[in-house]
Amino acid sequence: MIQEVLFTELFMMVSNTRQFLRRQIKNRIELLLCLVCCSLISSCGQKDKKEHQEPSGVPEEKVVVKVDIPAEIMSSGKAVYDQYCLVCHQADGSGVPGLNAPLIESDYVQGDKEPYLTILLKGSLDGPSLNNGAYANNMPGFVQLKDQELADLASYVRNSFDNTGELITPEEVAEIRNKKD
Amino acid sequence: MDMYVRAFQNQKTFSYLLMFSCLAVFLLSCKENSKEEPAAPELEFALNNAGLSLPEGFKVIIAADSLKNPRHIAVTDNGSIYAKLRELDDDNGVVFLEDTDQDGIMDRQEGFGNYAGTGIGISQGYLYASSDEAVMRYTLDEDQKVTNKTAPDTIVSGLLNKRQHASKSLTLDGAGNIYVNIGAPSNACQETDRTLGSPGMMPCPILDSAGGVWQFRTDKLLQTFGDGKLYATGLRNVIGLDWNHTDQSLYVTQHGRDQLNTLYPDLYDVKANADLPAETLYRVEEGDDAGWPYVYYDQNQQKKILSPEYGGDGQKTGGEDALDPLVAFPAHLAPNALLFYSGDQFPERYKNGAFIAFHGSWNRAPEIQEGYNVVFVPFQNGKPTGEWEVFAEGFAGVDEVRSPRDAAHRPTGLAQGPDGSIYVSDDSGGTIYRIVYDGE
Ligand code: HEC
Repeated sequence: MIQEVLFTELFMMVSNTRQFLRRQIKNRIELLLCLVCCSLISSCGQKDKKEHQEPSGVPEEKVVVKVDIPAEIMSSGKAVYDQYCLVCHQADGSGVPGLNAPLIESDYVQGDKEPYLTILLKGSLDGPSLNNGAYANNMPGFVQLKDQELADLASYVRNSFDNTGELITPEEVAEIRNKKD
Repeated sequence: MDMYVRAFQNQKTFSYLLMFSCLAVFLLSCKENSKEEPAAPELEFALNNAGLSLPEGFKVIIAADSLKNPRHIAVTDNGSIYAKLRELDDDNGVVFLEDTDQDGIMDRQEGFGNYAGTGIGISQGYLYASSDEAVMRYTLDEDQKVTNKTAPDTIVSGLLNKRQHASKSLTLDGAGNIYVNIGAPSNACQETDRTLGSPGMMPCPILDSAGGVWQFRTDKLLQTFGDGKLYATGLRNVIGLDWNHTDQSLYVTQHGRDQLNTLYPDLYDVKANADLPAETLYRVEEGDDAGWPYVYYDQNQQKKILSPEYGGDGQKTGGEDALDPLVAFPAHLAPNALLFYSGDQFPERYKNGAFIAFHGSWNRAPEIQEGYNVVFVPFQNGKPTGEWEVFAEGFAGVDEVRSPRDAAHRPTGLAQGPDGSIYVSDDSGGTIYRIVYDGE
């Protein structure tokens, strides 16, 4: 994680100075060498840090537990996704930058069932956004879908696009649907 | 958690230091090389045209890269660039780029304006820039540099921003008027936006405050929405617009509606949705209506078709009084900028024609996405004189765009330089391309 951030950091710095360098250096290999060198050194530093951190109790990478969802639920969930969601969230769940949120490794999708199912039922229209305005489009609610359809869909999305989460039942959908707010 | 943050900050400082020392070593080692370089102001063309395909004789310069989501751009009389950023970069929403050694690559950069947005334009000694709610004005000196970076005038504020279609793109006629897009915060004016089975509202109340282009005065400060004049209506979202000085008229490109098949699966299938409706280019006069949300333009039937939200079935026509487009493009390509070319650098056939930057589609999914290019339409006297053609492509950097996220670069803004080069901004990769004609 830190490594990723660091690398991006470095990359951005390098890019910012790139135009300047480009005029100074005709030999791009030198640039490349420098880049490789810098990233190597910084990733070394990175390792040191990590060793530092481990004893102090910072949790290791989250352990991904694969949940077994029956194949028929996955396939009926996918059918609902393809029909109603794919157009905005795309076939690979990557969404549309600035417009539709990605569903890959999504906290909402993998988190508590209530907020997750509430998004599916009510969407996110006009008003305050789920993601601080990062995505400009409206997400419609899908109340008109049956409990079973929504449950299958929710289970499918929770176990696709690098998400994991336990099965969601039609009863759980009904409970959220019938909640007075 | 705290420790984590601290570790990260140390790490960051460390990496900065490192980078700096790397750079120092590096520059020293290259010093000799650079001395041999003559200081002649030669244009630094990109290798292999930076991966773009262009007609014979055109070349590309990467004028700038690594900018933070540059939307529309304006080029000054001496070739400097103002870019409006969709996201703040260090609290700055406008970036000013200069090329001090005239090699075409911007080597000095300065930010100002603490608001993100899309619209920007230069006219009659002023720079105009928009947030998603307001238009600001800056005074330019004789070098077209801004003199009041932290204290711009507010031309108009309080414009509708409901997140969707909020970009306030703008153009100026040079005669005291500024034209501002107020996009409809809606797909097709359903009671509940984009929701299955929700009917279209009749009449569409959104049109009172959005879904059109509004005209404001440039010589009046602190205007509100009510001071503006509704110039053209029935336009869902116009990100590309340009005042054409050859016929003194406003031209706009509309983003057509989405989701025909997901909202009306009985009438449209996936293929029909990928194909319909057309993205449209209109010439608008004061009082014109382009028909949204009641109709959309079907480029195959060449008709205005009644929207399914308003009782349409894909065949029934409507909008008898609504404008017809001058040019109809394939669906969902997202025309984000329009530029009438008035330069002398490009071959004669480009003169007075229209360039359009297509941001690229998302709504064609699961079909392959299209657009991600710049097209050209030849024009004479306000009328297209031939078919549209792809002018520049290859921005996405992949053979097939399945999801917009696959695209490395997405064309968003267009501007013409003083020498007749055109500039294309890309709000995904942060690049500004300069396209130069270098042929016979
Ligand atoms: C019209 C486009 C559209 C459609 C159709 C759509 N969504 Fe969304 N979705 C969005 C947008 C936009 C957001 C971000 C909303 C926000 O930030 O407030 C979003 C957010 C989400 C989120 C929250 C994810 C996050 O990390 O923020 C989930 C979960 C989700 N959508 C699932 C679905 C599912 C499942 C379907 C199909 C039943 C669907 N969406 C249909 C546009 C859409």
